[in-house]
Amino acid sequence: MNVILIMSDSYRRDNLSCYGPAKVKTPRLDGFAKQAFVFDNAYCGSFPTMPNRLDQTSGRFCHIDHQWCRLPDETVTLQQILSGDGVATYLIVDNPHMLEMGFNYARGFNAFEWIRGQETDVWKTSPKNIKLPPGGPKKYRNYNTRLGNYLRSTAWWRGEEDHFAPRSIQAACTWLEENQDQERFFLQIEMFDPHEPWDAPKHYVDLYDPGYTGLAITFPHYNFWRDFLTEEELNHCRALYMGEASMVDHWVGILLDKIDALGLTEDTAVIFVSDHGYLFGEHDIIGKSFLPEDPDGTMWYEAIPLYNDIRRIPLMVRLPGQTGGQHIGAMVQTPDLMPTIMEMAGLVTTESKSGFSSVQMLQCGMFVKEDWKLDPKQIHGRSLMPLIRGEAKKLRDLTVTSHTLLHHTPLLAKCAIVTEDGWALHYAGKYKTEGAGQGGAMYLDKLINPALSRAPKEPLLFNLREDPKEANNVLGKNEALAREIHQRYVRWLVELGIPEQHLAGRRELL
Amino acid sequence: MILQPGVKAPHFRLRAVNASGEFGVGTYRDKKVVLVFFPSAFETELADQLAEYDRLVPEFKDQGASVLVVSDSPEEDLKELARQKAINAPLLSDSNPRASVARAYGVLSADGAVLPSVFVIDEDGVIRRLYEASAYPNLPNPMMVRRFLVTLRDAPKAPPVAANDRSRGAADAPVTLVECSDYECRHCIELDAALRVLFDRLAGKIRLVHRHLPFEETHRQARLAAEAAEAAGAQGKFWEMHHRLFEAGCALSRDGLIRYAGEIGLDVERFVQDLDAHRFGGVIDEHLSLARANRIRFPPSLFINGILYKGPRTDEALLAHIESLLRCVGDAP
Repeated sequence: MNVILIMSDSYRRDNLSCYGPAKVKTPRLDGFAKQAFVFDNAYCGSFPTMPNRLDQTSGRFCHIDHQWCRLPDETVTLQQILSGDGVATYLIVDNPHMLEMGFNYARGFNAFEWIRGQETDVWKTSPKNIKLPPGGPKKYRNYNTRLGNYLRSTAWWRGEEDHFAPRSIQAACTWLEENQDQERFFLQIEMFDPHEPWDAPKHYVDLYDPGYTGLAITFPHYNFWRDFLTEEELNHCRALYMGEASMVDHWVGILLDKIDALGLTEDTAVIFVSDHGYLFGEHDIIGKSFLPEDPDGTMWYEAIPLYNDIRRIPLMVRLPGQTGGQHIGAMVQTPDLMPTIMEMAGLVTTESKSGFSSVQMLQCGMFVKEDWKLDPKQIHGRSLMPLIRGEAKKLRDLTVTSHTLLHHTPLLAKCAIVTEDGWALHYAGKYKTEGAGQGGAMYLDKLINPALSRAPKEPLLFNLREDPKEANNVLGKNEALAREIHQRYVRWLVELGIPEQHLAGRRELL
Repeated sequence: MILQPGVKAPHFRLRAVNASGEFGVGTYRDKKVVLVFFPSAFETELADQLAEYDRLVPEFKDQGASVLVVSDSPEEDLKELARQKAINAPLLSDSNPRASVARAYGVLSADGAVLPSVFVIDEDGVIRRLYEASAYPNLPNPMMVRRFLVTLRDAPKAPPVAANDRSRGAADAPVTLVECSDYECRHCIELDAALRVLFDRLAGKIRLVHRHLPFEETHRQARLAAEAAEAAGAQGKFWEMHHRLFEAGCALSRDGLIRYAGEIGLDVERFVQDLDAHRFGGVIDEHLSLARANRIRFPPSLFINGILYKGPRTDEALLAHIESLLRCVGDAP
């Protein structure tokens, strides 16, 4: 079958009513959920954006040996394998991080289309004089650096069709029209919306905060919100985000209509997924990844713990011809997408034994080409197809969402381990020398300053069934349980093949 | 029982109410047929859907297919339908005796009503796709049918079975399996084990044809092993060698091949001469060339009644699939 993978960045799970009462209006995705397999317990693997994409394309939990990085030359990608098998592969991407600075995440696609101008993308040099919005660097992230550039890239907009998600979806519709007669295809649509900057047309924002007259902070800092926002401003940030989430919903609906009109439901699976959530005041924070930043918005030194509203993601899969929806409770993670899509494309099958499944090649030659060779055993993810077919009840008994482990400091190497019986252990490692990072492309060791730490880095244990907001740390009363979960996590890391140097500081809980 | 993909479509000829002459299945050579069963009791919505099929007749034609509509409605009612909805695709009256064609295709409900359904039948008269009422309560979106025709055009095909092919089982068995495989491929080894179980369980019901598809890029010994099987075949022991090679678990050096020849009782001297002279290299080339022409790329590729099998390669899954085909032709074990 063909596969259309729709990735919408920062799309909170609770935007969608299929996951419970929702404040965001998403009629099209709600309709899609009624036709699809809805994964109730889907979790991000490696965090944030680009580690997540490396997980998705490699099928591996890359936080064990990579950080936010360009696509490593040695990584054999999903699209590379599909293209090698003769599948027409195409990427439509407005997420600039996939391609900027030589990041090269289009490698392996037959072709790609870059919708220019989103967030950090350096696209235009005019108009020369850009008026920055009121609020200044105290409120805005990247105010004096990237914001002007973004406003330059969007200054030409005249209507909704010019916005990023609409342009990506229109490009996808055009591609489908032109490629509907491909024998097999894989179309990946990388929408950065509803990631900041939030600038959906007014009629979407008015759904949530009509009549607001205060400052509209479209790109706020990641920080403790009371330090720099009023409550009204925070509420309006949420409305701006929800408006953009509704815009994404509307345009995904247009894509679904196109798929229908072209008859592609005959043999095309559609996957809707996000990479992570975002905090709008939960745990007193606005943002998701690093805090605090300096007023120029270019520095960071501490990872935000991977709370529930960050680590959980929406994931829905509609198979060809499927009309009835079904919820699946098994715990699944981003690296599972790669073997799932390979199975959908007919390259692999999965063997299900004792409730667990493993990937198997269907034919020789799929993973061996002149230039590369992939051993399917290197894939950490597991195909979702046995769950969908009802052959397996679960793929794993814990999930791990993690920042990179490369920097060897609890300020950064934070992860959240969730067990199937509803416990969440937050863990950041036990390192001999805090701040002794290795350096790297993204994090500067000199900016790692334990003295400025404001977010928890000691182990925390939450009982999610009683305390889903993760407000009451119960580790003190349940130390033995925390140790057991931690040991399961260490075994899991060993099974993944984590290099010893990155495991050494994580062998002990306390 | 509703006929499934992989089964020969029953032939019929019926008079059209909106065109001159008779139409049916088995009357178009080298053409695909989109066969629509349309019930006599229908709502306006269903008639509108039928009109959509009619509108897309040129698109179906581009994909090499004709559209035929079979209904148990009386001729006069069908004429009125053709007039009202301006339908040009042949509307065929299946009313004498009522619904006899629908019965042959198995699309009658328990109370005798025709179930709206669509069959796609290929140039060889084999059903390739079925849209049945249980999955599509009305007719399926005709663009889906068009999309299927596109994929059918590009799909790998089973190489035509020739008289000199290596085959086991009766030539007129209701189910033919064509296995394109490689003796050095572990997936082929697993498949062969399943096929041996099947062949015993379904004796007399299936015919098994082997074609060589050595994946020479990584399987350096596969081609010589295929030649060894043919060399054994020249001495009347193809299948014995075939099984022995798969049992070897990829241990296929020249010395090994010679040892296996001895084990199955071949004239080893003659076997070695044939092997070293690559006497049967041309057969392997021919199989590879046919595979390329039919868009078959990787081993194993298994075709069941001409359709590439995409399910699990276990004896249980294969048995279930083949038994469902046998039930369609009234030949279940």
